[in-house]
Amino acid sequence: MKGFFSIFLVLVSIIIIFDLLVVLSEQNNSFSEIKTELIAIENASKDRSILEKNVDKIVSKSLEEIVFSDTSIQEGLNLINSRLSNYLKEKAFIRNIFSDSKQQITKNKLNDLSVLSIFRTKNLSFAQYTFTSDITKTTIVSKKLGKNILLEFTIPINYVQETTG
Amino acid sequence: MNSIEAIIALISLLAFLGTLISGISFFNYELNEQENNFTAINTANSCTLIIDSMFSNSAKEFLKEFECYGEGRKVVGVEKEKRKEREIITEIKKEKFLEVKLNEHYLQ
Repeated sequence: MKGFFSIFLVLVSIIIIFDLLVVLSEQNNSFSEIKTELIAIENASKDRSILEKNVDKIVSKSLEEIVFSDTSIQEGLNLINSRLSNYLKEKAFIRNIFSDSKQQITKNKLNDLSVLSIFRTKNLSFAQYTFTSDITKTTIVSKKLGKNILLEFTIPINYVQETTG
Repeated sequence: MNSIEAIIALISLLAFLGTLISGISFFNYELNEQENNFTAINTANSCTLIIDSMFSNSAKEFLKEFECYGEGRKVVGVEKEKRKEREIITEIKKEKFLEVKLNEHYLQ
């Protein structure tokens, strides 16, 4: 019997400490998972921003070229959309927002979904590129980014860029 | 006389053991309460982090199971009978496959 209470108390203390360690380790794992999710969402957000900025840049640079040359509307539209399709073909899709069906991005499909307007006077040129979508306004360019938390890159319907030269 | 002393000694021992066991079980109960409290707080904090991050990054959906309840601009982490609330910077639109109200993004 000698030392029985001491051993009993030590065992109880060990069980309590073990229990606390289990709880702490569960919480630690859960925070690690959250941290991974948050890093993933920030990465996806960065990817989306890069796509958006590059699309903006491709369209605005192309419009500048169009404004300062004698390019026709169809040639201008081909120029912008071929550059956009080259950039986006492996990064995004043409997607129907109702059926969720996806198609690969091509210059011709983008031509069907967008409009270029050019006005030229003696001293001024103006060009405007609009992503109009189709007649039912249900087709967009998009790409879902992220794993568990989803972000979506889209060229929204009525997206407009214009340049004056 | 000896037997009375032995009985008293036994009663004292039993009383001591009883006190010790009830003390340990009370301590254990309190410990479990605090563990539940701690887990509820952590769950609520995790949910708040996810929702605030979704809002600030304009994310559409969270595809994993959402561990909290949404009540307007609050999330509630629940562990057994413990509930902990945290405020979020947006509102929850849908709890299954969590969706939150977002700011409009990219000219849309």
